[in-house]
Amino acid sequence: MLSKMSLSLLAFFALTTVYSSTQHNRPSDKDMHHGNEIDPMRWRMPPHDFPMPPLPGLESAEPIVGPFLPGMGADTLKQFPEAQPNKVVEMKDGDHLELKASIVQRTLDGKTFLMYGYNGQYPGPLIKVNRNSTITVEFKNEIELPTTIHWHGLRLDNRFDGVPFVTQPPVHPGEHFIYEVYFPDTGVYWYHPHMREDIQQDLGLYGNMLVAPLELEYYNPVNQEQVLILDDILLDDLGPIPWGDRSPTHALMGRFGNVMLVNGTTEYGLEVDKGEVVRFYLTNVANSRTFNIVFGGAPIKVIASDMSKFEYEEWVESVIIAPAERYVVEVLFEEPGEFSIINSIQAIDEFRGEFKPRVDTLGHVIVRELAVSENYSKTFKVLRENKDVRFDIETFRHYFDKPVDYQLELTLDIMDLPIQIVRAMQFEAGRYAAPVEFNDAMPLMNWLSSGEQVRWIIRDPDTGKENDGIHWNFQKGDVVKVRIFNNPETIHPMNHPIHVHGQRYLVISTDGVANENLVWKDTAIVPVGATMDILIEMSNPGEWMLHCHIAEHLHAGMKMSFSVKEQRSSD
Amino acid sequence: MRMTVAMASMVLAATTMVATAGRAPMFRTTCSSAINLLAPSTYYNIKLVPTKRVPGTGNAKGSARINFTRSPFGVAVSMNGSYKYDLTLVIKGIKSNNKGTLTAWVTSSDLKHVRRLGILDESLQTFGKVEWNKFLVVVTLEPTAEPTDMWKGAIVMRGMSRSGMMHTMAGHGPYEQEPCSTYGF
Repeated sequence: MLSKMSLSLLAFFALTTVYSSTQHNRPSDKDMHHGNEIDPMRWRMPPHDFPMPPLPGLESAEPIVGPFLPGMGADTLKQFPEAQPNKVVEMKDGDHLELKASIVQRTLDGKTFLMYGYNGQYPGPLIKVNRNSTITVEFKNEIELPTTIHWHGLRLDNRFDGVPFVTQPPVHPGEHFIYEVYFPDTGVYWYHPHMREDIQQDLGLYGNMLVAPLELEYYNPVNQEQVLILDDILLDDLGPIPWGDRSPTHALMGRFGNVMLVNGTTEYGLEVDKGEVVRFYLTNVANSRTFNIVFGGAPIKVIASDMSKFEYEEWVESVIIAPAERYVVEVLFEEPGEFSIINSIQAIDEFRGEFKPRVDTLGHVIVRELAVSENYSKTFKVLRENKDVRFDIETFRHYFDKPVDYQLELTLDIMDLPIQIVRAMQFEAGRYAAPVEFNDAMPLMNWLSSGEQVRWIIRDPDTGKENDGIHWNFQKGDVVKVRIFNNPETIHPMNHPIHVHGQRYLVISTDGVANENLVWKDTAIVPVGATMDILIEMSNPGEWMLHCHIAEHLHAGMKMSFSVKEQRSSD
Repeated sequence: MRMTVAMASMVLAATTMVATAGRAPMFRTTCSSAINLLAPSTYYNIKLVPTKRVPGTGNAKGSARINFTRSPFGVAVSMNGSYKYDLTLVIKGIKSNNKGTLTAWVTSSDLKHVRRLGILDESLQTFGKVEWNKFLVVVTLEPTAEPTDMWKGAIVMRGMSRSGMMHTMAGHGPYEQEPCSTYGF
């Protein structure tokens, strides 16, 4: 463990470097980092999916913000511990957990560099609890940036929601904060920072919480459960491409990585017996990437999402999962052999104006010749109706046709971007924007756009208010219908995963088409051009946020707030 | 030292929060009051235009509405990553007394793959599914209602998915000095 003094020194050096690079817009030539000949702290062109010429006049351009890497100012990598695979922490109601964010050494894709970790692990510890439990988490910040922990999807006490300047002050380097974490809903949830997520989350500060049901037979019988966190990271031969110091880079499309990670590693593997049914709990923690996951052609049954099971189980070919979403799926491995878990997309090559198929392998499942001892394939082949979910949702169904209470429009402004980028955007605007972008189609343009030059907007068209200017007021028990429109007629439209803190919601229709299989969500993707009606149950008092969960969009302004009061006022 | 770190950290955080405040945008979207949020966007709709090759169809108008196929994930994507759409095709203004059956098709943009969507009903509508990211929609006048792999009749109307407007940047915008031919266009 770092001493308080060394932590302070580290943070001091980091901030001094940030100040220096901000002043001169270039880092010092001195190699302060890992002893390489080329300073990995300097800005360098991120890797591209497809070859394309640099934008004329921007061949040597750099983002207007300075570069940031963790552990700047450290003498060697070796002063930091090597991160370990995560551990499972089984907790009972009333239990106490110590959680520390710190700098760790990681080796990915053959390169060793510094990242962050909770309790020195990748991902953070998997917290397993029963529904209705409450635990306390004593959090200590040993990274060089202020941070907090947001317990994503949990309808917990507002004081512990982890939103800086709203529910708590930032936890500065060396400081503590004690969270009381309540788990009211069964399912898979995750924890992550709510300050500079684009840096901290991308560097490994995330972990899952698996909330077990109290009811018997809540889920189908399976042979085993696997909790998979999907992520990506942007690396070149020197390690991570630096992040923006005072504001994120990649503000237009969010930072896509070029190395895919499952549970923080490029080497996820699983061995099962022939005929095994595996329940996978999937969480997407990437800054911006939406995944399309295929399990080597094995049959997939989707049974649950963020905060509940679906009304009905469904067969799917693949799992489309946007940032911050979770899906619970069951997969039957009937035949022996190797099944690759892949991300299968049609990537856009913006320069050529073409779609190109792209497959990234995330891991492998080896199915042994040996037949599984308890065979659940018969149960697997039946699609279950979840009457408990239908019963719960039934009480909300009469709200589905109510008039829209609030409308939101998703759009953006751009400011002070290089004229070449503006011209490229103008060329693209009015032609075609994909409903969901699965890759970084214009990496240079995206990299050069900082949060100071792009303002992503949530607008309330009824008041004209935008982002932090929007604050809605509700009472506990209100059921609110919100229409969200992702305006395609902007200079750069993009899909947005919209996250609502502290409550649960149903996506009741998209583009006027009713959703026939409902599930309680806290995050849902709004494709370009889509109009999505959601019904939010205001069940949890406090001051809450609604925001885009693309980390760079959040920091480029795409957030608003609402309050839920405990009781109606006397008037 | 502790104070220095805490203060500096706060500056970092605060800077992020106010970074974009008070800046005049270069580009804004259409004023929101002009946007009808109650009407679904027509952004991906495909406009069908008459080919004027069939008498009585020259003034026809038509469109194909595109929606994601229903999916538990909100967006529908195939195993190879292509978008999965429901396509509802409606045409009006046909005055033809020509014998034959109006039939809708989708094709890949290179015409190598063709799928028959179906026959237009009495109200000149039909519905089908498509799993391509770029495609053409074609309405033909077929001699019979028998399903075939490829149209045989004259093309009455045609349209292109919005993605067909994707275009190389070579020779355009900031790359206007970049010759298209270098990239095979």
